[in-house]
Parts: sequence; structure tokens; C-alpha cells
Amino acid sequence: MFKNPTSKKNVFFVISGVLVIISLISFFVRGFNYDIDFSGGTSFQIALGKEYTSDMEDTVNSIISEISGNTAQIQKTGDGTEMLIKTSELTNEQQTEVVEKLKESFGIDQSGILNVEKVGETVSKRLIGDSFKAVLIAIILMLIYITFRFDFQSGTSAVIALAQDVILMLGAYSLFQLPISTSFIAAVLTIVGYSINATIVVFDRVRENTKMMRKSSYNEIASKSIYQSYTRAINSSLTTLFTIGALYILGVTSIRQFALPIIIGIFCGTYSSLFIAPNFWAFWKESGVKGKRTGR
Amino acid sequence: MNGKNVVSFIVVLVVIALLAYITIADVTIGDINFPGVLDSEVGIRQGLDLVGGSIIVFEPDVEDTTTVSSEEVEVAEDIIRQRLDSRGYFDATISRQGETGIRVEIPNIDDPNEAVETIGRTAKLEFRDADGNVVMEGTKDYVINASYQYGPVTQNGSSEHYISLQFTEAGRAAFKTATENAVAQTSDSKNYIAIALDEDIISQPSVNTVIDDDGCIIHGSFTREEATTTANLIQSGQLPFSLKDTELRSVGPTLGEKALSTSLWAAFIGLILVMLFMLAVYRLPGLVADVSLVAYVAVVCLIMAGFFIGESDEAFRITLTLPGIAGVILSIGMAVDANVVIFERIKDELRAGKTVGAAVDAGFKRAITAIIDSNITTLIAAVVLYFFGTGTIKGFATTLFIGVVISLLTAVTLTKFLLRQIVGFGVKNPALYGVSKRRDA
Repeated sequence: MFKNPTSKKNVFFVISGVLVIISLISFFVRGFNYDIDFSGGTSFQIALGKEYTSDMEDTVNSIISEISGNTAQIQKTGDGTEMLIKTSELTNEQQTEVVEKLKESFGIDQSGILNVEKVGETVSKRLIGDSFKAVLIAIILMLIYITFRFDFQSGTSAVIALAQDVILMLGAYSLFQLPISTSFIAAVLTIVGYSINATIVVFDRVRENTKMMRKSSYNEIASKSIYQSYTRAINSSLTTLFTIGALYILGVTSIRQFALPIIIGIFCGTYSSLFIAPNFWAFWKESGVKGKRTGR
Repeated sequence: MNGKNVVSFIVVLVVIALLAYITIADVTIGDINFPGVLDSEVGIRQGLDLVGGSIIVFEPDVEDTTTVSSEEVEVAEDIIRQRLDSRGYFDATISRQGETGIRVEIPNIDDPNEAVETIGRTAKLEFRDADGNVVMEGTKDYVINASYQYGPVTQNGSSEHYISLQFTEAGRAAFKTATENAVAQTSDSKNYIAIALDEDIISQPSVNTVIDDDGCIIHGSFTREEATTTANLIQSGQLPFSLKDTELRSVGPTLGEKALSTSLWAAFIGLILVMLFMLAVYRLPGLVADVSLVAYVAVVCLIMAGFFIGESDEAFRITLTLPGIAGVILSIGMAVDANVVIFERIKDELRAGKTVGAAVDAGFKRAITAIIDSNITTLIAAVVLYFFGTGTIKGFATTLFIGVVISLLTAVTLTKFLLRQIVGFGVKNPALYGVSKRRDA
């Protein structure tokens, strides 16, 4: 299967197809857990100075509902002595009041208030629009560049591989209900760059082999190119995982929010650049010439 | 052994060691002192998520159908700057977010809510006499327009920067009375009118004659900037909107400190792991890649600290935020990717039976198209992110861009140079280049 990957391309297409369908179903069924960056609202990150216990949830909930009449989401973060409280957008007075009550209830001073964030609803709507626009423009520009440097089939195949990476990353976040913040958008864009990078290294082999293997079919060319790219793909993924993994293990909450999607994306990107992009390219090219290619 | 190769190899190594040393240590050469990139004063400027502080984003509080011009937002920015300065927040920075958003970052602030209230409230502009009595308000009932001008203000006078005001009928009358009173007090040196914004006197032009006109000019030894700002501030009297805070993020100093130290540890550990890996897999070329990687990290850090452009140009200094650090650390992993591509090609060539010298040259030549194409696409992503992203995403895009460009220089040019010198020494055993004899025999 890995020695001659293109002969088994349908297997890879099915694996990807199933994963993409699961992700899409999850989008509709489970939806997304938007962080306040996207949903609007106020959040507080508190250092308790002691272990977080579940009865604290009730304390926080009663504080919030007393002040604003709304509910709150409470989450244990960091090493277990921190908590993250999310609620709907509060006015500045309400926010100050909540902070005072929290300090009082948990016996902490100002240094325990690690982080307070408020994002208005209008801002978050625009953020979604801007992020979507950024991804779309980046993909279109990349497609143009690849078509110019390789061919249109390569460009489209690369974009399909990319779309799969983005859908699977979103799918993982939807399925496990991980919070989506601006860091996630930055991570998705990093993976777009990373994955296209990996895909192009494979297509560079394809481009070279197409010139040298004039008698071979597109399937054989893709297979050989993928085989030649294994070591590079594994080694480069490992080095990137070393650095981003260290960040994930050691980092604070906001860093982890950035590192986790990148780790997921590196696996997706490595898989799609090796087994989806070149195989799809071969599939497309072969369907055009019915298994025989004429030398250029 | 070729003596020339040895000399240039050692020279380059010394330069890299020196760069690395400047990056981390406090170095003084002659009059020039550079205390390392981690210095809080002249090192890499750390974002609020690393030092603690508040980020407040203000938006004009208008109906969706009302359009707000860029000039109007600029005026609002000037008002905010004035208010920050008068409260001693000199470290605060103001930038535009999106088209009409004003992003204010204030480091080390205790009560962000108080800041939101004082900075964001509607501007109150007044013209006062020498005794502090309000003689005219700066609202649109009195002043139609205030603009910055440059030119001679008297006949045969030399050109200077001044502010031109246009009054309404009511403004004309009020200003006439005010100037009459001011001129009457010339003997007491009270012949001036003060322009005050939120109780702070921003300008105090003297009055020499009674002005009964539908406009006037304010001149004095203004710089261009002072004149523009004052004109904007007067204009602010008729700002058609108030500001509301749409975003407020406060990071306590404890969290910032922890974020920075853990990220630095992660960078250090990640770097060591990558270097060990390259050494284990690629042997001699791996060692060369490690040397280039040290140069890469040093150069990227120095660029971000503004080392190469000097202190004169503050605008080019990058503010490093958490996603920015993540971008740098990620780019370390990606920087070695170019080397992996090249070294795999070199191994291919060695297996094909080429001599080490020929294999190194051919390996670089064959790898370069893949490296150029893949890096350009990553750059496209970085540029798009920079122009369409906001706040922290912009910071991430900047570091990613710098990372990719510098990695092309170190991982390709520098590695190639060093590896050529090593080949020139006569080190030509393929085993040292990561190709095992048994498998390839």
C-alpha cells in the first residue's frame, strides 16, 4: 500500500471521504463551540491559588446570575488551579462588580485576576467575515501561483488537499467541541501554508518525474513521486512537531489553544500532501487520456 | 586540505557565534551597547499578553447606515492620544483596527474600566479667556471647520504652520466679544484665548486685534504635527459620533510573565530536539544545518529587536505577542524543512553513485525549485494574513514572513556555503553524509 500508493488511491479517497463526511455531519449536528472572540461576551481567567473543585461552579453561577441575570460557562484550565468563566457581554460596571465578588468569594487579590476579556457582538461578526475572506483570498492566490508554476490539475489537487485539511481541523473542533478563537484561525492559516508547502515538494517530484519518465503512466509517476517524498515528509513533520509539541506541553492556556490545532493540522497536512494531492492529480490526468499518455 | 576553505569556514563560524552572543548577552563595543534581545528597554518589544496590560478597542457609536470617514476616526485618535498623555500613559499605543476601530494598548494599568470611561467619553472643547471663563464652546453651533494650513500668515512673512478656523454667525459674534475683551487686557498680559480639551489646555494663542470675521487663524511657532493635531482637536468639537468600547482585554502581569517564560523554555527545548534530530539523521550536513539554525534564530531575534535598523526607527520594531512567539517557534521547525529537502536530494545523488562534491552541488540545484515554490506559497499566506488579519493575527503573519525570508537565506545560502567548504576540506566519506554503505553497495 505504501510502496505503490497510487494503485491504492481509491482506499485513500474513501478514507478521506468518510472523514470529511463525518466532519460535515458534525458541523450540522454538533455545531461549533465558539470562544468569545466569535460569539461576543465577557470572560474571566482566575488563578484560585488552590485546586479547582466543582462546587465553585455554583458559586460563580450565582454571582453572575445575580449581577447580570445570565448564565456562565465555567471551565478548569492550566494546572488545575485556574478557572475560565465565560458569559454574555457585560457592561463595564457589571464586569467590575463580578471581579469584586469573585475576589471576595475565593479570597484572592488583584493578582489572581489573570485575564479579563470583553468582545462586542458586532466585532465578532466582522471577525468571522474577515477570517473567511482571508482564507479564501489566500487559497485563490495560491491556486493561481501553482497553476502558473506547475499546471492547473496540480493547483486544483493541492487546493482539494488543502480543503480537506481545513474541513478535518474544523471537524475535530466540532466533534470534540473545542473552543474556536482567533488563535484557531491563525492555526488554520499556518496549516494552509504548511500543507501547501508539503504538497509542492511532492509536486516538484511529480514535475521532475513527468519529464524523465516519458514512457510511464501518470499513476506510476505519482506513485514514484510519493515514494521519493516519504523520508522528507516524515522528517519535516517530526522537526515541526518537536517545536510545536514543546509549546503545547509547556505553554499557557492561550498558547495551547494555538498549538493543538497546529498539531492536528500537521497530521492532516502530511497525509493529504502525500496521499490525496498527487493521487488526485494522477486520477484526473488518467481519466483524461484513458491510461495512456503521450510524451509532451 | 584546502587552506582557503578552512579560513572562510572558520570566519563564518566566528561570525555566527558572534551573532548568537550579541543576541543573548549584554554587549558593549565602544559607545554602542546592545543588552540582548530579551532586554525590556531596547530588546524585542513585548506585547501586552506578555507584560500585562489592557487592550481597548473603540468604535464610533453610530447607526449602521451612517458612514464614518477616515478623517473623523483620525480626529478621534488624536483626542484619545491627548487624553492618554494627560493621564501619564505615555507607553500606550494607538492603532487602527479595521476601518473605523481604534485599538488602544496600555501596558501595566490597574483599572482598565476607569481608563475606558475617561478615554472614550465625548470630547468637550472650550475657548476660554485668561481668567478661565468659557467664552465660546467648540461645538458646531460656533465652529464649522478647523483645518491645518501652511503658508505665510502676514504679508511678506515667511511660511509657517497654522490653523484656520471657520465660524458660524453665532461663533463670529462670540469670538468678536472674546477678542475685544482679550485685547482690552493687553496691559495685564492677559490678551490670550486658551483652547481647552477636557479641561486640558492644548493651545494658548495670543490676541493682538479684535477679530470680527467669519474665520480666523491661529498661529505661533507650531510644528506641522502640533498644528495638525490642534486642528483635529478643535474639529473634534463637531465629531458626529461618540465612542463605545467594543472590545476590552486585560492581562494580569502574572499571566504575562508565565506565558513568556514557558514559551522561551519551549523554544529552547524544541530547538535542542530539532538539532539533535538533524545531527542523528543527516550527520555532517545535519551539523551544518544546526549551525545555520543557530544563525537563523539569532538573526530573526535581532531583526525583531530592531537591531539592524537602530533605535532611530521605532516604527519598524515589531511587537512580539504570544501568537508571534508561536509563529517563530513554528518557523524553526519549518526552517529545517528546506535543509531536509536538500539533504534528501543529496542522498539520492550519492546513492546514484555521484562523488560527494558533485552530489552536494546537484542536490542543492535539484532541491531549489521545490524550496522556492513552497516558500513563495507560504509567503502568499503570510501576506494575505497581514492585510486581512487584525491584532494578534497580524503579529503572527509578520513573524511568519520574516521567518520564511530569513530561513531561505540561512537554510539555503548559508548551508550551501558551509557544506561546500567542508567538501573542499576533503571530507568525502558518504557515510558522513547520512548514506549507509551497506544499503547502497
